[in-house]
Amino acid sequence: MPVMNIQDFSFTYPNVSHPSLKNINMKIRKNKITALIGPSGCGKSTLLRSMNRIHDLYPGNRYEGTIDLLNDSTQKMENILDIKKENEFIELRQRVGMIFQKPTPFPMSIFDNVAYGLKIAGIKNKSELAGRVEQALKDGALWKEVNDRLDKSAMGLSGGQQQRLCIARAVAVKPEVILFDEPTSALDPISTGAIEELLVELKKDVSIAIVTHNMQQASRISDYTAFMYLGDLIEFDKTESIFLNPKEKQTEDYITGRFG
Amino acid sequence: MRLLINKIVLGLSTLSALIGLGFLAWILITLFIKGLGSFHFSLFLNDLIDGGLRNLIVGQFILAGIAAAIGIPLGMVAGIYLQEYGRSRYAGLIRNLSDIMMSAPSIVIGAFVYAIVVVPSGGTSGFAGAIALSIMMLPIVINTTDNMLSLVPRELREAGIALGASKYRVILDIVIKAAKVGIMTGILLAFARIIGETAPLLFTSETSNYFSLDLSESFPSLTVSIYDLANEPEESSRDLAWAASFILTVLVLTINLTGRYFTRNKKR
Amino acid sequence: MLQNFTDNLELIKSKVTDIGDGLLKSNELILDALEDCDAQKFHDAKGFIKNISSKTDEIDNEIIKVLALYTPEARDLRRVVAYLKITNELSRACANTRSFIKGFTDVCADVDTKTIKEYALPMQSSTVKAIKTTINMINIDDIDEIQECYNDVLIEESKTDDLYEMVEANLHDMAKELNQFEKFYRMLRALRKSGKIADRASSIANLLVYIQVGGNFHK
Repeated sequence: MPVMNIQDFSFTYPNVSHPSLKNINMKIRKNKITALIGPSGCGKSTLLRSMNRIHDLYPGNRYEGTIDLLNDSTQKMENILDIKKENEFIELRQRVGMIFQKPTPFPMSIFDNVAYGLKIAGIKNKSELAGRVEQALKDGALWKEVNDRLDKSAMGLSGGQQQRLCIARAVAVKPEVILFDEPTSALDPISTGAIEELLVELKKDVSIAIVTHNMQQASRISDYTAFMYLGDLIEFDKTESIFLNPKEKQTEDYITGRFG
Repeated sequence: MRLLINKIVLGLSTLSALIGLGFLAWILITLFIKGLGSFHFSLFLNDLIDGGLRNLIVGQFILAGIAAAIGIPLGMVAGIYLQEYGRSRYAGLIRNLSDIMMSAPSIVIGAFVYAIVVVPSGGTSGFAGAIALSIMMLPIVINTTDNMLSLVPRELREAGIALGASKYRVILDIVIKAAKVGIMTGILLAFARIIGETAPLLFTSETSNYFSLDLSESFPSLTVSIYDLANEPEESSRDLAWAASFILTVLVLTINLTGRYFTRNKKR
Repeated sequence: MLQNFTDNLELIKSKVTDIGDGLLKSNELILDALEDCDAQKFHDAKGFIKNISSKTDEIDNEIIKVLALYTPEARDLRRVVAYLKITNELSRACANTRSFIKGFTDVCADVDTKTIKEYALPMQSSTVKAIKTTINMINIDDIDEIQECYNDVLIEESKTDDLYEMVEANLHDMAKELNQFEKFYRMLRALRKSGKIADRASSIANLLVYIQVGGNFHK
């Protein structure tokens, strides 16, 4: 069973006449990495940001279709586009986390950064917090580098470390899905490689959706790939098939660098 | 040919800068010479009635302090509202009003407070003066809070929301902290601005020769007294005015430089 | 290094080694069979080189997948491309081995054991040594060691060439009578296959050296 099921999904930004996403149909599979690729403006980030409803920070969006998220306890799929209440939004974002292109450490200590989501979720016990923070930093491949300065400001970390901190922060709340919006475009190749390795490790515990403008990144780490163009989903298949035997000519043209 | 034009323009701009700096230097030097000449430590120990400045300095601080106690919280809350919740037409309106108020002549604000506070209450008071100063401070604080918050990147707010924080939590825990240094600097500079104002206090709290903590009566003010003393015929009064101006300048300069020192740290 | 990528490379290497081992065992058994023209042993030798084309297809598809997904560079690129060519060579070597077995099954019926042992054994022995060294090379990374092994393979291969020339000359003399000539001619043809297998081994060894040393393809 997929962990997210997107059906006939269309999305229009506020005060815009035509939709930015048209009739998208795809799945996010459990414990797999799904990549969204396509030229600039194809709507891949828009689609990703719909999966945790972060568009709703800016009111006035129009949705059509459904985005179903699997409820682990009831094993039923629930449409997240129906969510209206504040506390339901909060719960959604605790289950579907997000990492941004620009690393976004909060202006606080490393420990407080990672503990932030936990405190919101209501965890107050100091030892429990410390334990979860340590585990999250280990899962984020950052523990070795920072365990001796957890109380120092997070702003003193390098770009790659900051991004791993954001990942540790997201992982701490044990979400079911994590959305990555071009997580390595602002980083150097070594940090990029470290984060790619981290993602491949992480998929054992979380399902991952990643937007990337770097095709090779998608081919290296993802299990499924979706190719998008101007708001349409052109092709969605196993990564092997997309990169070896794409079915659509547009997909092939993009992959071989003939446009975009 | 281009090289020559370059040199001419460079020369002209350097000249203008030097002229501007020259005047500044002239003012400061004049103040120093005239002020230091009449300066002695007893100024800090005696009130105006005895030829000192103590009550005036203390009074000015109290007036500015109360104005800050009113203006800073109000201004910050308004600034936060504008930046974080203001998508409606109201927000645009408030921003425009605030900008207009910033350029309102200080004497007009003084006259306004005279009409709404001094006349109904039957007389000048420290309260009225503090209110006038707070009206001057408000738009500056709103503007600086609004601007400093707008510098916080959108992704930082989204990152907080994406973790499941509610909007107000994100503002309190993350956004304000991120803009903290900028906002504090802005507030400090606003304080430095109002502590040197004269016109708003002229008709509202006037000044007093005596040491007073009673805000319901005319209240001692350094700036208003400088104005009064400068107009008196006696030489000694004018010397006192120079000393007072010198002290006021040093005060304002110190607060300004402290503010800029903190900004320098942040830029690093 | 991504886990996926290294896993896939290892998989390809082990599959190539598998085919190589099969080829080696087959030829070793042939060597054994030549001792006393044991038909059963010849038959068993065929068993080690069954289904080669489907196995090489599998490897080739894996290699193409790696090229598409991981865009390897430098040594990794040389490695997968070399393996692509090596599967070809292995496939042909297996075909040569099958021809050899078929050829010698007939020869054993016609020619006497003594003649066979005198001529076929040394050649096949060298061939087996060449194959063995080459297959070993697949798992060696040290450049000096690999160069040494390559030289050994070249030596065995040139031995088979020399031996073949000798056999050719001798059989020519022996087979002055027409009916004898045909028998010995068949043996000569079969022995040719053994020589070809040794050739393949040296091509493979050359490719394995290319992986480590780089430069351009050349023989």
